[in-house]
This record gives sequence, C-alpha cells and structure tokens, in this order.
Amino acid sequence: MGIRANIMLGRANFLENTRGEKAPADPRTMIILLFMVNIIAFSDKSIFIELITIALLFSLLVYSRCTRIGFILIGMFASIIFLQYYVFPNSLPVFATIFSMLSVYIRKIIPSLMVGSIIIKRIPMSYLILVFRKWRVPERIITILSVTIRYFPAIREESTHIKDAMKLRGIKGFAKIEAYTVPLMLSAINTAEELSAAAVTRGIENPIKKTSSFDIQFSIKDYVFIAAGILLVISTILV
Amino acid sequence: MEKSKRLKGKDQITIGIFTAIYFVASLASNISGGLHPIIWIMSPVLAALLGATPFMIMVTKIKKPFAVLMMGIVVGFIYFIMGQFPITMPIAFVVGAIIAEIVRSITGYNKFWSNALGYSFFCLGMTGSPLPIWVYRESFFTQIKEFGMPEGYIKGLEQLASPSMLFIMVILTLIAGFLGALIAKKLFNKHFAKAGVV
Repeated sequence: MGIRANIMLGRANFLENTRGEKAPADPRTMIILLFMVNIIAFSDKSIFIELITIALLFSLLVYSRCTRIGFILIGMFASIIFLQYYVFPNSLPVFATIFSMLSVYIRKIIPSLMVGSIIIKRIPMSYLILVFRKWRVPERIITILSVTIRYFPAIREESTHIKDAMKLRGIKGFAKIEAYTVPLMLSAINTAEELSAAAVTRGIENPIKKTSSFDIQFSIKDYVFIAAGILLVISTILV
Repeated sequence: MEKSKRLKGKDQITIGIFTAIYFVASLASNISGGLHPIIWIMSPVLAALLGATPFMIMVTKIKKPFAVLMMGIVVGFIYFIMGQFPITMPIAFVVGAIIAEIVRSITGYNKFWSNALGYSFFCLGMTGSPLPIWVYRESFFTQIKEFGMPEGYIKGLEQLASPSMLFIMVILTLIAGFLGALIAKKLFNKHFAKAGVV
C-alpha cells in the first residue's frame, strides 16, 4: 500500500518537522487542498486531468523542498501506469487479477499522499494546533491529538529497547507478541501518570483561552493554490 | 453532565498515549494489507486483534463517556492528514466510535462485557481502509476495464468486491474485536492485575 513509501523513507513520524523553518504555505491551505485532492481522485474519469493534478502537485512538492519524495511518488505513479496498461493485459491471469485492484487504489491515493507528505514533513505541529484553535476544534481534542502525535517517537524508542531485551533472553515465536505488548503498555501507563502530573502543574486544566506565540495568515500564494484546486475540482466534475 | 464524568487533563493525556499505541497497531495491519488483496480486505480483522490491549487499558482507566469517541476522532484525523487513506477512513472511525459510545452508555462503563462490545464496534473504523472497493466500485471497474483486461478477469474481481464479501468482512471484524478484548483480559489478569496498574 501507499503507506509503505513513507515508511521506507523513515518519515512516518511527525516530529521530523523542520522547526523554525518556514512552512511552504498556510496549514489551512494544505488541509483544504487535501480535501480537494480527495474529491478529484475519487471522481476523476479522464487521465488528462489526473496527469495535470499529479504535475501540479509535483511542483508543489518541489516548491516545499520535498523533491526526493516527489520523485519517488512520481516514479510510483509512472510504474503503476506502465503495469496497468502494458503488463497486466499481457500477463498471467492470476497475477493480473490479484494486483489490478490494488494498483487502482494506490493510483488513486498518490495525489493525497503527495499533499500528506508536505503536511507531515513541512508543517510543524504547533502550526496545526493553532489552526485547530482558529477553527474552534474543542480544546480536549487538540490536547489528545498533540499528546498522540508526540508519543510516536517514544513508542519507537521503547520498541527498540524491548527488541534488544527479547534478543538477550532468546524469546521466540508467539511469546514475542506478549513479551512485546506488556512492557509497552506498562511504560505507557507510567508515562501517562508522569505526563499528567507535569501538565496539570503547568495549567492544562486552566479554562482560560490558550494563546500562541505566533500567528498564521493567508498570503497571495495560498489564494493561488486554492484557486488552482477549485479549477481542477470544477473541471473534474464537468468532464 | 456531572462534573466528575468530564474528561479532565489527566484523562486527555491517557487517551492520547493509548491512542498512539492503537494507531501504531492499526497502521501495522494496514501495511501488511499491501501483500495481497485478501489480506487487505481482512486487515480490519488483524487490527481488531492487535489493537485490543491499548483500547481495553484505556477504557478501564477512564470510565467516562466520550473517551472512545475522542480516540476515534483522533485516529481518523491522523489517517486523513497523512494522506495515505481516502476520506472513508476518518468517516468510518467516527461512525464506529459513535456506535461504541452508544453501546457503552446503554450497557455501562464499568463492565468488561460492555467495553468489549464497544470495542468490537469501534473496530469497524478500520474497515474504512478497504471500503473504497465497494464505495467507489464503479470508478474502480471503469478504470480496470480501461487497461484492456479480458472479461473473465473482471468477473473474478467482481466476486472479490461483492456485497457478501463486505458482509463477511464486517462480521469477522466484529468477532475479532470481541476476541481481541478477551485476549486483552487474559493479559490483564496475568500481568497487569499483579502489578496493580489496572
């Protein structure tokens, strides 16, 4: 599935955002684009509009300094097109039946994968939190979301420790699942205790509206991106 | 709502941490779906088994309404923002979480059985990953026909994407959710109860 690309790139966690570096566009623009791209991908019937969308998104990726991911995703798209139009019709029936469905699916999610990689790589979490505050998302959901996203690196660290310990003890087979789950859960329970003590001391339960040290604003390029998106959506619906 | 039933700061953090673990478990089963379409269709079942322990610890620690709904919203949102899954994913997660909340509010927040039942409905959220096969069925098949595939292959595919397959997937996911909760309970009794954490 498409998700593999991100795993392979080692960019599955959100913490690798470049802090301090300027985001390529307003986070709101990116979220709106993500919606639009979803509409285009799943209502699109002409390959012409699909190609234009992919080309525009590729230039957006290059503009956001994600050139490497951009090339990988373009390569994936090209190889899927090649498979679908040249390999599947001429290959063994079993092979074609199995993978044609999956290939259509991956081809459809590549555009949203492109926008998603920009969000994950180039938009810092604190910007997203600010957007949610502006959109009046309940503060509880914002807190939960930010804890979740910041806990991913901890899981990774914990799991390397557990793997090392399992190797030392020579645990194999199904026992591995149990030996993996239990310490992960115990450490999560402890972290929850410690983190809440720290957060409560720092006033997480303070009902006053929370503030941010920076502000985000729409600029001309945001309007350009959204206008391009609207044009594409309209042309998809009309075609 | 009574004040003590509200989600406090500590509860929010606990939900956040166990949501992260649940998310990793469901992501792992999703990635394995890339191996074969049948595994892809059955990936919600795998996720239901893997994600049970973090979910069950979460609901045993926080016996309050809306905890599960929050989890569903956050998991769905992260899947959406990653761009790797179509819009069906967050929708399915929110719908599954709402059903789970309704079940829990009727049967009570304290009992294992009600939480296990809630979990098996929550698991329906993961069906959002293969759901486009049915939701965008027509779009899928027009594209596949475009490649110039012979009729026989398309017939085989249509069988894979038949409504009865969807039904099987949903039923198996519900069963696997309940089974996962039972396994989690066994783990509780064996390890966590002794440590006195749950």
